[in-house]
Amino acid sequence: MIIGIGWTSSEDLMVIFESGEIQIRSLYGQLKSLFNVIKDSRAIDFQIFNTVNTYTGSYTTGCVILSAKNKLVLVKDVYDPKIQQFPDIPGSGELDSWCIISTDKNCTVLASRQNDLYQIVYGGVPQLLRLNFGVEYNSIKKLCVSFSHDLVALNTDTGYLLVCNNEITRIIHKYKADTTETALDIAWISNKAILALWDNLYLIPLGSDDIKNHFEIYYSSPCFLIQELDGVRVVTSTSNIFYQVVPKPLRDIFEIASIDVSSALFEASIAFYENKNQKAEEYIRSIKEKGALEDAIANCIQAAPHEFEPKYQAEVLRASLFGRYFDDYANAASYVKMCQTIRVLNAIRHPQIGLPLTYLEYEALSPSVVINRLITRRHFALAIEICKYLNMTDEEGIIKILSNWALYKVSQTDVEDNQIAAMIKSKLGDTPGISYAEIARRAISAGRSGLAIRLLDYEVKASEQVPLYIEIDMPELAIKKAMESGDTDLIYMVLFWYKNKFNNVSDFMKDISKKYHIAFSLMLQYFRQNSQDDKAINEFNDILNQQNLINEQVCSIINVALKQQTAEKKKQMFDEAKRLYLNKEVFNTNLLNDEIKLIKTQENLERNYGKKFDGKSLYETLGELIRLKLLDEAEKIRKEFKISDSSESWWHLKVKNLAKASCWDELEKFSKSKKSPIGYEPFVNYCMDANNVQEAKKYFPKVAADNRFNCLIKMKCLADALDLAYQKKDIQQVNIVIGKCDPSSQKILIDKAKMYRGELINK
Amino acid sequence: MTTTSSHLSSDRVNLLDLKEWLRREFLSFFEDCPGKKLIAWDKQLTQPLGLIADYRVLKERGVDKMMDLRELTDTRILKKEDLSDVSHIFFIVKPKLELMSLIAHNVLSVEKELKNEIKEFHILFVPRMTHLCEKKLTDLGVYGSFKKNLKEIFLDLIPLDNDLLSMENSQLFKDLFLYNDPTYIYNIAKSLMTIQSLYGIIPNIYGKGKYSRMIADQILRMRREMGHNQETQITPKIDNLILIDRNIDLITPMMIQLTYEGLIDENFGIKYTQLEIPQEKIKKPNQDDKLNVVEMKKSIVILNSSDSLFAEIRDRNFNAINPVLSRTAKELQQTNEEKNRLQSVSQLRMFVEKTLKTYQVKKTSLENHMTIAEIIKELTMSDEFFEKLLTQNDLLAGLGGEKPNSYIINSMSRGEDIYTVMRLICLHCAVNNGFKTSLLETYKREIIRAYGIKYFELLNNMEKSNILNQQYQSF
Repeated sequence: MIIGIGWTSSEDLMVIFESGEIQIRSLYGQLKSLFNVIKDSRAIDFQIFNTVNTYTGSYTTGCVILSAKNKLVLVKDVYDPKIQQFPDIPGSGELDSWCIISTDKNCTVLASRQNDLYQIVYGGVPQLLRLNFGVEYNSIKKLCVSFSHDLVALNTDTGYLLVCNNEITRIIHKYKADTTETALDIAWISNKAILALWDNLYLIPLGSDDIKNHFEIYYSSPCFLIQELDGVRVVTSTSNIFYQVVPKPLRDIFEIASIDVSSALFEASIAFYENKNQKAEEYIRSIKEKGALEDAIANCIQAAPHEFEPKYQAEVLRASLFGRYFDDYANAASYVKMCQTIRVLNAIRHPQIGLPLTYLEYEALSPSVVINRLITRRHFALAIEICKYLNMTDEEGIIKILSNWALYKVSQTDVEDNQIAAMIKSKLGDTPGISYAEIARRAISAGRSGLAIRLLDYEVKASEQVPLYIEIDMPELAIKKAMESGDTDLIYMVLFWYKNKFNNVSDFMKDISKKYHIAFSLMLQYFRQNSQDDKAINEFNDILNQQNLINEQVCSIINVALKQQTAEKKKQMFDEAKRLYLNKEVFNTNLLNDEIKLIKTQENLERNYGKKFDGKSLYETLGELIRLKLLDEAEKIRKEFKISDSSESWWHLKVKNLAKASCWDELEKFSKSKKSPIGYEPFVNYCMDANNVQEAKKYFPKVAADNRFNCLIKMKCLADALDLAYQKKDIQQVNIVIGKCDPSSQKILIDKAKMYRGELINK
Repeated sequence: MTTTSSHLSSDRVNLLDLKEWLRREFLSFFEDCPGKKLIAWDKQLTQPLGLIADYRVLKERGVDKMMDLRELTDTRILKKEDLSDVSHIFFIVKPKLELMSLIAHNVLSVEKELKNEIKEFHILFVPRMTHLCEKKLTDLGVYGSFKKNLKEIFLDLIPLDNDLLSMENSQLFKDLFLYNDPTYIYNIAKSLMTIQSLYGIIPNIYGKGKYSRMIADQILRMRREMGHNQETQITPKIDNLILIDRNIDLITPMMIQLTYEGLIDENFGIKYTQLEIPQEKIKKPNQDDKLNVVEMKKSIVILNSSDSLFAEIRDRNFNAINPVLSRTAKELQQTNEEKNRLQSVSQLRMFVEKTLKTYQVKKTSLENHMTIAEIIKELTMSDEFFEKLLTQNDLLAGLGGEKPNSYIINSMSRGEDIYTVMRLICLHCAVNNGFKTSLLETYKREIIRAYGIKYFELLNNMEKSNILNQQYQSF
């Protein structure tokens, strides 16, 4: 059973059920959220309240539920419901009345039972208030807090209406009604007057401490009081009347016998424009004499928006404008701004729009909230016009409106997908900040994936598109868009989702290799980087094989083969690798065949000579054999691997290693075996590497003329080198000799070289 | 830069802004978490992040211990004693799956061992968090342990010097040109967007090569996705962006660098502007040599343009740095003499305040560079170096022809460093616009014979990425 309804500050309907369930519904009745505040009891009463944030000025709607067990449950913000318990109300028995005083800092319940009035602060200890009200009463039947939560009105069973501060420490006003019945309803008009409903409506202005006068207002039908920021709306079955304290600026102008300067200014403008008499000048002069023209203008500007009739608004504004003609320092800014505000106010007050806000309410809400309200009422066109008119930022205005409009369109199930998509696109275009994905998401949740696909096409952010494509199961589009974005992380995300659609990895790879080049490379990269154990490597190899990436597969196998411990295993794996080529890649096949042959050879060598050859390259093996003076073996292997005995490599290998092993006889024999293809300079060099000048000198005569100088330098025969350089008239070489000389011990040589140099330069 | 107005050209791009921005981002991760912290690093990230904020700064933010994540394996997993009074554990990693397993392993063990203590776990991904990693963490059952503490810091372009940003990624070429992995394209574009958010939209983009095109497209796309944000309000400080694919010019990287900095890099390698010289190299020069009076104390030298001497000589040909070094030496000498002439206390104080500090800095710098130059000179004076250079120049001049180059072949049979050999072969290939099949095969066979089958993959990869290629048979 519903025990009550009410509105939140963002204009959602709150429905409170006896079970303790609270539902938040939109203006159109759609359920937005629901939560339950009571577990083991039922709700019997509730209060909805708004707390104003002193810093931002925004309102938060909360509510307190009274359960049948006399417990109070607090929900501070119904949009972020956290259920909090008030301390228990002392004593027992039904409460006569209660109300909530909520400020930024704390939330207090005032509760009355017969003679007692309790103050229960959330998180505090309940207190019985002992204030002598100075009147006779048995119980307080009604409690009502002003909009600002500063003042509280109490109605006693003896017909008194008392106004206290919110701490209930002071009685400010006292009023005695003619009747002793409890008021049906009480509401505050600002902090200035109280409307109380007995048999008729009583307007009680809060003047003196002891209020005697009141106005009685007659209604023929039942009425309800709605307390607002600066007034009370009285709703009857046929009317909606707003009671407000006349705002001060208006009073200053229009109050009978007002002596305010703005009143004079207004009179002046009336005299000038309408009566066309000289009084206008007198008024203006009197204002100027007081030096208060600016104040008068400002007050007129301030007064205008409080008028509801455009005619009067215009009159007051005209007065301010008239004043400005006499003001040398007039600034139009506040006037222009106010005109804009008034225009907006008038627009939203139009019966077709139906937002009759007062100026103060408008200011308190801020234009941005007003736009929100227009959006909820689906007055999109007006909202956009207002945004443009007020120059609001795109985030605050256009984007929000267009997005909401689109979301609304999406929910119109009677219009075709194509049509809606086209409409949305034509209206929203490429407005930056619009999220088509957001709209598409709504379409998906409304079960319109066809529309979602069309909308997603307009979305520029791939990172937004892709997850939705996945949600509606569109792999092609998801992959395509992800690839277009270039964001590999996104591509991986889609691919791993897509992979699950296949029974095994190879089917998946086959599929994407055909369709998506980049995706395929990426998946290969993934496997490449994440195949650590043997099983994963084998799987990866299978994929490579399937995709005809034989070379990479071979490499992968070779890498594993190189880690094997036994020669047998190695040979086996190289063989496996080789067979992958199916005799097509002759060169590579030969390389692998050579490797197998090498391993076999090395096995034999290890067996025969007890030396480790495993892991050595062919040349390293040969070098080692030569150094071990196993020249026949080396020769045999050379032939086996078809290395020509007149190849440069072979000669280098042999000369270098013979010299290294100091096999000088063998080296000499080798040098004479045939003409060296590498010349004889290396002989000298290698001998010198082994520090054997004697041997080096043997080969020097055979060194080609061009290389002799270098050889002499290498052999440290600097004197000979110098002579040679001089002979060839090569200054640079002479310089090299000088550079190589030790300045302390070879002074003579240096002098000689310098002399030669001098000679050569002079020539 | 094409600007004509001088005020724009003086408005140089201040990379400090980027560094400061990165630093703030990075440190904010720690500042948000009160209490002592332990960091388990992916070792590869210590240096680049060290350039942003050093250990001292981290310590000020409560970082108590640092460990190498890769060492926290089975035998050396995070233990109770590592975690006394530590309330936050940070893992700073690249988004690699194997690291996720390591992290999970550690997290689970800590949670098991320290049931009653509340430790917060964080992962800081560099440069970005990936869905794959998230999925992996979920699969390993630790995703929940991190609550919402998975963050990323977009450190992809690392400011190395006042005019240089680098990704310092040695994998990039391989992944991109061999495996067509476009991840980097996205990351580079993203980094360039970061740059543009700090320095304004770059109005002109020029480029050469397939991947440059992709990056440019990606940048344009990202700009579109961003819409008109506040970025447009920043006056562009960068006029032109020039993108070039590395494989447009495969000759330059194969050549031996001959500038001072280049030679240092060739011989010792410069990493994140740091040079580490093996100690034995420093001790070598003879003691009576005048240039080497003071031995270098540290073997790590920071090489960037904050060192004014280095800034002056870094890009000079190695043979042309001597005049600068000796001039600097003379200047220092003068300052020194000046000091000796000072008499009054006030003069001395002036000297100490003004000159002494820079004098000290300059002196250290000069000493360092003289030592380095000495070592390098030794190497460049060698016959091997000379011969290598000669061969390189011959090849570059197109004298290599269609035959195997005998220096290359000889180097192989002599067992020279394979990368030296490979560079020459690649140069030969690039200049020839590809090898004839027989020549390519000769080189390949020789490499396998000299260095072993383990280089089969290297050769294969180089061929596949077109560094080594065959000539197109035009007829």
